[in-house]
Amino acid sequence: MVNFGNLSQGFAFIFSLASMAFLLTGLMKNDMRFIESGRRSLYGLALFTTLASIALGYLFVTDNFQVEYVASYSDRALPIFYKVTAFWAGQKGSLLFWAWVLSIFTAIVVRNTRTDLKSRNTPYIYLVLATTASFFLLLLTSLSNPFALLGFIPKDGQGLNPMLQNPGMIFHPPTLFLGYIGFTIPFAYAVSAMVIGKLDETWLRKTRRWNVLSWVFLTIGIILGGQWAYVELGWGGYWAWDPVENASFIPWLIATAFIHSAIIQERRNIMKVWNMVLIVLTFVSCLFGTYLVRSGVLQSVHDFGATGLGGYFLVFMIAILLGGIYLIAESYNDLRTKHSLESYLSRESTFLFNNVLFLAIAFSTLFGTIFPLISEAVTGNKLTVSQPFFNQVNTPLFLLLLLLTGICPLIGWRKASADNLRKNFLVPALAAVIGAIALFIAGIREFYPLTAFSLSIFVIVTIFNEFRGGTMARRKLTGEPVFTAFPRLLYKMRRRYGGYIVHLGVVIIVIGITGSSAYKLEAQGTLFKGESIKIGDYELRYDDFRGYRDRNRDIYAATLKVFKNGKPAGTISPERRYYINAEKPTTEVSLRTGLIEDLYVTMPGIGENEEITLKVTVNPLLIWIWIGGFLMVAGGIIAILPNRKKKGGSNEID
Amino acid sequence: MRLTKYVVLIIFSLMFMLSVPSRGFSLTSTEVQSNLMCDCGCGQLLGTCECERAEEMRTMIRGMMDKGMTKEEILNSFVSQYGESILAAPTKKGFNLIAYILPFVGLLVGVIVAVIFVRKWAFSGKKEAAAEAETKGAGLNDEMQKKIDDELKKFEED
Repeated sequence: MVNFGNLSQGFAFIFSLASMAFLLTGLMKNDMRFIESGRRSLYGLALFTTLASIALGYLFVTDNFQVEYVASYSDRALPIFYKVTAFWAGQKGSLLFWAWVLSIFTAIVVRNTRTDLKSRNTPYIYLVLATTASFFLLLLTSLSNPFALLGFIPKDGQGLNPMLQNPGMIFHPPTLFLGYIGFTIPFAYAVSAMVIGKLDETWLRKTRRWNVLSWVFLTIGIILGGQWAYVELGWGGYWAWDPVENASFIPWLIATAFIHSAIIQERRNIMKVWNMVLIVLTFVSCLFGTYLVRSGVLQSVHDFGATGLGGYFLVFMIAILLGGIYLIAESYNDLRTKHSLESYLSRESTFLFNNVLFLAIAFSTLFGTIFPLISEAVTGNKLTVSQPFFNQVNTPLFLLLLLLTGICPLIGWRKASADNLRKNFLVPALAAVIGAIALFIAGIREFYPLTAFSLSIFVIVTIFNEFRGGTMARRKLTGEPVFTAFPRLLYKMRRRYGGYIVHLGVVIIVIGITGSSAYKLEAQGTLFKGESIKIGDYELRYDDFRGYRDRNRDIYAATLKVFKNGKPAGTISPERRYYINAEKPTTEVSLRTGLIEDLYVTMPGIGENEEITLKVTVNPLLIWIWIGGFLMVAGGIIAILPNRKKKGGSNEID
Repeated sequence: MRLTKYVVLIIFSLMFMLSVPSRGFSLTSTEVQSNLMCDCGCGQLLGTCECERAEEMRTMIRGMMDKGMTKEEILNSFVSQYGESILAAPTKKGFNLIAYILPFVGLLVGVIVAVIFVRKWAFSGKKEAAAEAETKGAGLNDEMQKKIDDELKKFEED
């Protein structure tokens, strides 16, 4: 199977190179036969990366520890479930996974464009995709081969890092990768549009679903990563502004700006240059994220270490960036259109300001992330830039963005009249002011939480007004009852209302973050059996302690009875786990989740007489972060739902 | 327009001031911990790390607080012992100020550029509308204009 994997990977590389060669020849000779061969080679690429991936998965499942990668990330005792996910636990497998997904996405594009083969831009799209795949396959076959063998056969593997033995491992890395990789498609279309000079909104229209789908995957990846980091100690909580986390957030911010400005180009045929800049930046930032993770230049809680591939990613990233700048400069005159707006105050202009804010947050996140390197290079001073910095700098920017999220739907496309503005603003603004006063009276007096909650009210009322207005208008027009009019409106205008659902999700996340960070309670203490610890309305009584063996780990668990306001509220059971092959024990969180607050308990220490050190945290409103994340994803999916009317047509992704 | 400029300036000054936290109540160990990194190499804030080294550092903090040291004194003591990288955020002085100011400068520049573009496009839009009206020889009456606007609105909502 090792040889089969090696050969498949090798063939995949050959097919990607062959595709590039055929496409280039076809373009130079203007010969469709070569273009067709280049196209077919991309199917070959998808086939062989699939076979290579199956081979690696098989080697993990069958404990083939002669393979260095398998021996590094698996062992015999590892549950089969995690053996499969160990595929992407390290750099080599991640690269193969990247190449595999890219080749599958490429095959989808190839299939969907089979009738467009004579279109001038199609071969260029294939060429960009083939080149990107070749880069990854070059690394895989020459520098980072997951099928490389050890000089001996170890009795067992080194095992999977206990922190990665979590259900989060199934979905978080793949979804994040799918997001990163997905943006290769719109990038390829953009490059192709610039090369052939077909610079209208066609490329945007054809890639709209890819853009949103990639954004959805990136969002799922980030949210699931946050959820995983929340329950896994050692990663600093659901969001630690760690370099690796920031590396996923920066492309998300730029892609979100791009999705907004693409709407403007589709509607008004303006901002063509800007959209090209944004898609190039989105793709480059995806590569930058990979570079940051692989290079080891910055210290991270998600310790990937230096892998020696950072330099290659840096070169590839710079080449893409310079190539993108060159193409934009070359097409600049054609991209420039006569821009005109009916009014200074229109939704188009608010979209422009929202773009500025997204990029400002992306810039501050990037600058903060690399500032330790800049500081060391300039002053020789080693610094740490962590949560306090990002919270201070980014919070005002986020609040401004939240305000704009509420203002945008209130301002009409093209031109907003003073009358309309007054009418639209009145209810949400009044609700926000009344809400702020009520919150102030209720004891929320710190500036940031009060502002965040009040702005959230403003945005929520705005969104509900939009839904209410749309539903009522449809009801009036069709005579449908509300419960029929609402879902039909949602489906008929899914792009618009899907977007509003995403906004609603963002606001709910803001509420969750504000509550859990501003009003968090913490308590720590050492307890003997029968003793209690109090925190807020809770009292936790230490009742029992037991140790037992479960598969690849020894578990020591304490049982604590929970009382809320004096009434029994279940039990909670934090654990210390000693994994085979792990140097240090791990602490397993015990969680009691509710809509109002989470009770979060860990047991950092166990004494000789079964006394336990307990750390208890009450995180208000935290679950709303996950609920908001779910709404964002649902909104994104709704926005790209295919049209049912196309009975004879296809629901092709592009 | 002068008023707009002042409003923009006030917003930015306010935002920068807001990025500088101030506290008026008594010092807690958690507050000090949230400004320090754990020294074990885990890359986590001291407040979130659960290793033995973190516990030692927390004991040091409690000791310093018992001696009546202020937050700044405690942080300075850690900096003199472990270097500036023990702080979770760069100090707001010297070269480090760039990290705090540049994002807001970037935003300000972005907003100014956006305002310039929007004004330019709106001006060009007005000129176009005027030229169009002139070409047609007669302007639309208010009622007709309203009808068109309503139709356009309907069309765009679809």
